[in-house]
Amino acid sequence: MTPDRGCCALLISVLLFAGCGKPNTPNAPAELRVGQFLFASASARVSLVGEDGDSSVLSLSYAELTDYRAFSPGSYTVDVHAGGQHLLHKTIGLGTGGRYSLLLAGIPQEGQEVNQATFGTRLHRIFEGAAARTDNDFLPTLLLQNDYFVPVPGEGNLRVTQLVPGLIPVDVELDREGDQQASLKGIAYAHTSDRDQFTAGTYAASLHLAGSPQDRLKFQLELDTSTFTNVYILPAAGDSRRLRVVTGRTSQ
Amino acid sequence: MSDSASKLSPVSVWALAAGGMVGGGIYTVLGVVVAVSAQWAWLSFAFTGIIALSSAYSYVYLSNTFHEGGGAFDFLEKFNDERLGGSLAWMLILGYVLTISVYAYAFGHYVSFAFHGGGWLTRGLAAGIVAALIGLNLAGVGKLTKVEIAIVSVNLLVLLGLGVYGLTQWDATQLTAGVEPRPAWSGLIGGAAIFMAYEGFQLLSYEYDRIKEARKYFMPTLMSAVLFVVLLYIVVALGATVLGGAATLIDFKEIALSITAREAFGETGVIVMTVAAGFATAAAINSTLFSTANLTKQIAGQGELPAWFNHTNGANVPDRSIIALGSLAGVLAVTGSLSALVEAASLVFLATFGIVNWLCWRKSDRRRWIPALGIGCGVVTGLALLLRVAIGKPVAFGGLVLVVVLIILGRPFLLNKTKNQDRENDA
Repeated sequence: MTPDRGCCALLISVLLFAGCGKPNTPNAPAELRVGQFLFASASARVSLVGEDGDSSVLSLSYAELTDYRAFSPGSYTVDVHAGGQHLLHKTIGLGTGGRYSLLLAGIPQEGQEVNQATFGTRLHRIFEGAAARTDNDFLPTLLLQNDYFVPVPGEGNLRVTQLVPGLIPVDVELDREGDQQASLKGIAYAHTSDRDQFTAGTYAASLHLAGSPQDRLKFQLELDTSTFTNVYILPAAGDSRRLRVVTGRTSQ
Repeated sequence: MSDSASKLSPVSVWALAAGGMVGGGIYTVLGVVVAVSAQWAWLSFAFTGIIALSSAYSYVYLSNTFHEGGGAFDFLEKFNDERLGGSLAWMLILGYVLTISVYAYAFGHYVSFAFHGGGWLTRGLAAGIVAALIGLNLAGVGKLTKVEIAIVSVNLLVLLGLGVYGLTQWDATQLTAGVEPRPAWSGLIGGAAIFMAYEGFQLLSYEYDRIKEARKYFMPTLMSAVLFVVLLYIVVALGATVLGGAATLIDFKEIALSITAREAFGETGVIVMTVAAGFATAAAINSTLFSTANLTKQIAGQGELPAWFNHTNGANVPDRSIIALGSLAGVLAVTGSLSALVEAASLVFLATFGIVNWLCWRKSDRRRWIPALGIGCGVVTGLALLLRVAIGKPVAFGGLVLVVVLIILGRPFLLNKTKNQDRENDA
């Protein structure tokens, strides 16, 4: 093939391939839900202000996870207030047709600065960007999770997020009909497991501290093929030694 | 076949250079760079592209000056710096091993995703492709230039098509979808993390003797191939992020382009991308393994590696080098994490390209600003990468420092010991 013919073939192929895509769906709204998991904060106020001036204010009690709400795609400024203090001021992006969970975690400190962060956390954010995950001395933190998932026939998607300040990494064991099926290992504070796929069905889940055989918490989990199940592990209100879970489900 | 007919034409050289870079790079690094730089990921590719372009110039300049095939190791020999040459050769071999492991890692993840496979299938595929290509090389199949050119062409078409399609669907909100917008300077750190995406062109310097009218064509061919890849990476970084959304590319960084193709073209897109990624990474593993094994044999022949590596089998293939290097890469692919492998390889190639630019700067008497630009950008990028690894992966950073110290200090000791043993055996 001569270079000229090669260039023509290249151009035609690129245009053909580019023309075969799914039609664009302009302005499909983004969807966002918010989880208020700030320990020792009975309530928190979360405000989101878009570039176009659209605003939304949510008042949430501890361990409350809202349903998804529609937002116009774009950048939003998020402000979090609790206990009469301004804790967090961040900018987040919401993409066309995307679904996200905005999680508030950590323990507010008396008289703390807005966005207070340790030196190490600042360095991690500079050099790792969105991949940075630190405990930030358990100061209030905002986590934006992407709830996109790939459905797999016969299997359900599961992700576990550990939001218990001060707790060492945990393992989650999943048993189905008495047989141990799988486990998610070593989930540290402010970290999430991978999106893992397990055979659809009902599981008895048990939570251990990493390396310990003793159950800290047992709960039931329903996994189905068209749903992405997110489990958030939290301290119980008013008693950091007891654990609880909040479950969020994202349908296809 | 005449000698002239068996030589590589400019079109072949262009395809091999572009394919050598794209062959595994963009499939694995996109999610990593978007995590660091978000909407400035394209700038990361543009900035590190400056280092790639100036390094390509330096490689060709030195090849044309010495008028023979060879890479950084050979160039240092011409400057009578054997000590640095030996250390660099060891580092370079380590860099190639890391590169092969990244390609095998990508192969395992992309193919496994298409079959809804889990961790074991992914690891099995990564190890399996390296084992298969070790076997092919031992059988003497070696570098399949024509097959590689065909794979490269299809690969470039698929990536260009995906990027162009993404640009036609332009939606700026997708560039920061699900993440915090990042400042423009983050583009520098993002580029540092993924520099290995540009390393592939320098394998062509080993083929200098096979290039038709190399003095005339090598410079424009290689420079245009690198420039094309810089532009392709920018188009793919923007187009794929528009299609997939920033957070999705980060969350699925091991298979970022398959997820993007799924969003754009459904299951057909996944199949096309899997085929493209599978063949591209396999071809990249094959050519890198072949070239590295021959380099290892050459270095061993010059006494800079134990003579054990100089052994060849009945098909005149450096069998021990292929088995040792391939096996090490396979183990790393199965046990390593993506960003750690990519960053370690990036550091090695930043150091290598820096040395080649420095040699070019010393040797040339005009256009010295080109290698100087590469050195300047490379130093800044290298420092950013060292800081990133030290902060994000302190244990891996410690391991890397240890390896470098072992290479610099332990290499002369090991070589003296093996030479003494050889002398005793001869006596």
